[in-house]
Amino acid sequence: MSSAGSSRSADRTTVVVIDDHMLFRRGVVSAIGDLVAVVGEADDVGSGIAAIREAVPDVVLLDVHLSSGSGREIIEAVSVDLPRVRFLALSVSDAPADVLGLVRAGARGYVTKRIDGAELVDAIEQVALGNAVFSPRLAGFVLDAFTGSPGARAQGEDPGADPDLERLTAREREVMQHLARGYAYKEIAEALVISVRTVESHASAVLRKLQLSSRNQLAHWVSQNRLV
Amino acid sequence: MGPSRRRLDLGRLRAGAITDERPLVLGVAGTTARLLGASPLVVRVALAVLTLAAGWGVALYLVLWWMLRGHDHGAERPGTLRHNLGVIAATAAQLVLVDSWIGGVDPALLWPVGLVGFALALARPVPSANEGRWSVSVGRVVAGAVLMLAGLLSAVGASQDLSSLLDTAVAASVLVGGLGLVFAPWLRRVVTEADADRLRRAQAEARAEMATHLHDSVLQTLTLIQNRSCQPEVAAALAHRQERELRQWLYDHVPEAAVPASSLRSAIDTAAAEIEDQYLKVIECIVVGDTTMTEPVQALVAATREAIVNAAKFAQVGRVSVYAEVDRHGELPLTVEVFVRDRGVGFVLDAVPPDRHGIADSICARMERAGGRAEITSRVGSGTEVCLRWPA
Repeated sequence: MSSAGSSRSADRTTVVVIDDHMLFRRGVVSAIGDLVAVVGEADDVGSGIAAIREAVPDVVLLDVHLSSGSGREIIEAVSVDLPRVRFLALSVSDAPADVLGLVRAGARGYVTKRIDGAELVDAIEQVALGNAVFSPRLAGFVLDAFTGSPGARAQGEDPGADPDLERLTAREREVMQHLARGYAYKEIAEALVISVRTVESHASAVLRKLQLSSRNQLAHWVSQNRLV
Repeated sequence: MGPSRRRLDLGRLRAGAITDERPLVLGVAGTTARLLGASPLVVRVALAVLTLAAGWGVALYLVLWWMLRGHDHGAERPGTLRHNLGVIAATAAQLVLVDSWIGGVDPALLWPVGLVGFALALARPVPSANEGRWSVSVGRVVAGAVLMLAGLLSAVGASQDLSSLLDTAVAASVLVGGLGLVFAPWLRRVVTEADADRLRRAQAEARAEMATHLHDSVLQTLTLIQNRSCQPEVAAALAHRQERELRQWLYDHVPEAAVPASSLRSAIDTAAAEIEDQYLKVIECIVVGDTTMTEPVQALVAATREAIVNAAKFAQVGRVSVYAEVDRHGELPLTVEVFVRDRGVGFVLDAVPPDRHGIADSICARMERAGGRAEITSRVGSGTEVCLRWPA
């Protein structure tokens, strides 16, 4: 269990859950409540910001879509004052634009709501440690984004690399491919014969590239991607 | 208008909903007054005065009506005495107006035309208080008819004077104008009603379709899940299948089976969905890139399907991961890779009995025939991964 950044609640990671579906929130809290300390809950942008400011948790579990706005607004509102609070996006939404938008705003990872309790706890611990968390789907989005849109390429508009979008290294790409195949960091380390620590640093590097890429490039890619 | 009523109307004004005055003709004067912050009475008097001044009021009214056509001029309300008086006044004004324009209108026309106008005002349909329906009171129609008859008879009585073309034309135009005045609100209402009605019908249809769909799909699934609540895997698979269907219905609005798989992505998604339904497992599909369905790609999809089925059947886990990637090196040729992975019981490859055709024929041989390759790695206790590549 992680002891990162938590001075309260024994050594448990502290978590604030923000989701506008009460039932879902209940489900999450009961699934992870034994292993992490849920120190706050909220159902919209305003109360979410207030809950984060009050509890100052290690990790905020954040729904991409809230009834009163987007999870992105919350990240933008608190990330300057509270840089140590980390965000893990959680959503049923599979639209790359929404997911990548949240990652660009500063979320350290994205998991879908189909994740089970143990995996979610693991993802929360990873984010608390400052690591990136890529669900297979997010890894797929990233690979799509960094290899250019297949549609554009087929039409010859976008042959090869987008010069503005920083490329993934061969290793980073391999890590992303394994993540998309459903491998955990430990399994990737075994498969590539590298340390788990190295896998984590590759994943974090990809996350950084994603966050540094300009909004326009992503928008361009997203608009050409049929997943939207 | 009492003080309480005034307050109510001010409330309406603030809400910006409708005018505080009942429309007399089309509601233009009321709306103008609201926009200017003046009393509707002032606007109406001004329009009347301008009308007497060579008909400018009428022209102004029409211009205002055109300019304000986007505004809600307010709903008709019952209680039409004022309206009737207004119509009679307007009819009389018309006579005066025509007289001032061309002169020489026989004053004897005033009575018959006035009577007919009054008859029309009485007999016209008025909005009833409930549901914006229009009612025609029998008593009013009879009274209107009697008056109309009297008016026409007196017009015939004055027929010697009507013999001149001018007077006939004047009488006819005044009647038409009066008809217009009387029926304008009603026509406006009919048109608005028709629009609103169409909208209501469309909404009702959409709601009915949604209800049918939800009943056929979501409610059935929820019932199934409740009945089988002891088997979490079954419930999870049912819920996932329902989620997929609902998502597709909400965003694509095309039934799954209606579109034949035309690309690798849709073919793999479809295969995974079908297996998911059949074996009640969660199959997570990630596809990066896409390509059209050529013959080798079809073979690849068939092998993928077989690999997923094997995992669903034998791995004894609830989840199978599928990852497909199309890599284009600039132009063709492209490479396609598919990985089907489970964290299940695994098996010893050499120990698979030779009569099990699934792996040998349906996966390996099929890939080789298509010019590709299949690799299977499995460890007892930690799962299996089938890797398909094309070209080899």
